[in-house]
Amino acid sequence: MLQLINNQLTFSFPNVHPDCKVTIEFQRTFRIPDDGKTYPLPPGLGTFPLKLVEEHADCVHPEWKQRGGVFLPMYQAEALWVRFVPHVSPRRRHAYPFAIKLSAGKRSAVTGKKWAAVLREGDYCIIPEQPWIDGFVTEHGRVAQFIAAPLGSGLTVEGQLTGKEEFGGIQIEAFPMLYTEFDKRFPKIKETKTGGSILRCCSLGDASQLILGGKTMDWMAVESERSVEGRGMGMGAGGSMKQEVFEDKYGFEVWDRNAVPVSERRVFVHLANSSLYRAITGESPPQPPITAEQAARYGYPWFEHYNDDFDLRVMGASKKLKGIKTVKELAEAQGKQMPGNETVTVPKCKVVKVNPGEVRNGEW
Amino acid sequence: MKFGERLRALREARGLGLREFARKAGVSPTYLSRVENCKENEPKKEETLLKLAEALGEDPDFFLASVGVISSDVRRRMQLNPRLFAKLMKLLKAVSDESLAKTVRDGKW
Repeated sequence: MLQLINNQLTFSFPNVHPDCKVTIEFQRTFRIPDDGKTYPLPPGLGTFPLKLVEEHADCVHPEWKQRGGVFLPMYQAEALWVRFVPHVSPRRRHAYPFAIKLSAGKRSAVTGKKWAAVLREGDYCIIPEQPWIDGFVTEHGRVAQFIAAPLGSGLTVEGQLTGKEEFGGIQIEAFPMLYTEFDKRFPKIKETKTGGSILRCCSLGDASQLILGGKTMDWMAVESERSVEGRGMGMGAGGSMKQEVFEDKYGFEVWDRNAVPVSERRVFVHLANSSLYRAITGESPPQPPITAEQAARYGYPWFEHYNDDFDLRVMGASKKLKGIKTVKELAEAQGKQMPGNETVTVPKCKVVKVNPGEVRNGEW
Repeated sequence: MKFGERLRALREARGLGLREFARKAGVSPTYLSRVENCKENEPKKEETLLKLAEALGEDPDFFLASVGVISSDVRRRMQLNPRLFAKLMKLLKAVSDESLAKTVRDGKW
C-alpha cells in the first residue's frame, strides 16, 4: 500500500513483513551552479507539498488522471532531491531493505534505461544504504542535479534520450527484500536502536519563507508558464555534485518481485509549474527558493555523505547518461542564457560530513 | 534562525533597503536595524507585525504564528464561541500524521 502522509509517500507492505516500510520525500533546495565544477550536496529547504491526482481529477490533464499518483509544484530550473527515510524496527538492528527504482520521464536516473515494469539488475538504489539521490548518475561518484524543465522545451533528459518529451515527472517503484532474507540477515535482538536516517536540512523554518529575488526568479517564473497544455514538467540535468550512488550489496536474488501488486509498489509523481498548480489546487505554490549565491552569502551548510561500509561499491556512469547535456547547455544551444550559474565558493567549514550512523541537524 | 535574522534575509531577498522597508512598514529605521541585528526583541504588537508582513508581501497569519502571536481576529472568534474553540483545540490535538494518511491510487502508464 502506498500512502500520502504529511507530504511524504510511505510504502508499507505488512503482508510481506510487519517491518516492511519505507518513506520517500521530495526536498526543496537551491540550484547549484552549472559551471563545470563539482559541488557538495546542498541542504534541504523543506518538503514540496504533495497532492493526490485523484482529489483533483476534474482539473488535471487527462494523462495525469489516467496515470494517477501525486503531483507537486516546481518552478522551471528549480532543483529537487529525493530523500529515502528508512524505518528502523525497534526489534532489529536494521531498517527493512528495499530496492528502489527512480526514473524521470520514464528514464532511469541511475542508468538512463527506459522504464520497465520489472526490476533489472543494476538499475536501482538500495535502501537504507542510499539516504538521498540528487540527480542523474553521470560519472563515478558524481550526479547532475535534478532540475525542472517544461515538457516541450527540449531541455529534459527524457527529450535527449528519446527524442520526445512524452511523460515527464518522476516515477518510483519499491521492491522489498524477501522476508526470509530479512529474518536471516537481521534477526531479532533484545536491545533497541533508534535513528538511522540522516537529516540534511536547514533549520530555518518553513521553506516558503525563503524568497528569491532578481533575474533568476523572473526567468523561472516566465519560463515556467510556457509548459505545454498543462502536461507539466520533466527533469533536466543541472550542475555536477559529488554523490555516491551505491551498487546492490545484497544481491539481485534477495528482492521480492512478486509479493506486492504492481499498482501498490509504484507511483507517478507529476510536476506542475506554478500557474498550473494554482489552477488545479487554488493554492499558491511555495515561493521560489533562494539562489546558490544567496545560500553562500547567508552561510547555508553543504553536505557530503560518506559510508564506511566496505561492502558498498559506488556505481559508475552508464553509457546513456555519461555525457548528457545539461539544461544550461541545451538552453544556450537554443540561444537562451540561463542565469544563476555563476561560481560560488563553498568554504570547507560549511561542508558537513555525515554517515548513516549519524543524525545531523542544528542551527546554522 | 532568529526573528531579526530572518527578517533581514526576507528583506534583502526582496531587494528592499532598510530605510525603504522601514518606511513601507511605518517603523523607524533605527528600530528596524536593532530588530534585524537582534539587539531588540521581536515586536509583539500585532499592528507592527502586520505592517512588516504587508511590506514583505508575506501571509499575515503565517507571519504572526511564526512569532507566537494570535491575531485579534482569531481571538475575537475564540471569545464569541469558546466552547466551539475548545472542541477545535481538542480535535487539533488528536490529529496525528497517520490520521491524515491518504491512499495513493495508481493508474495506467
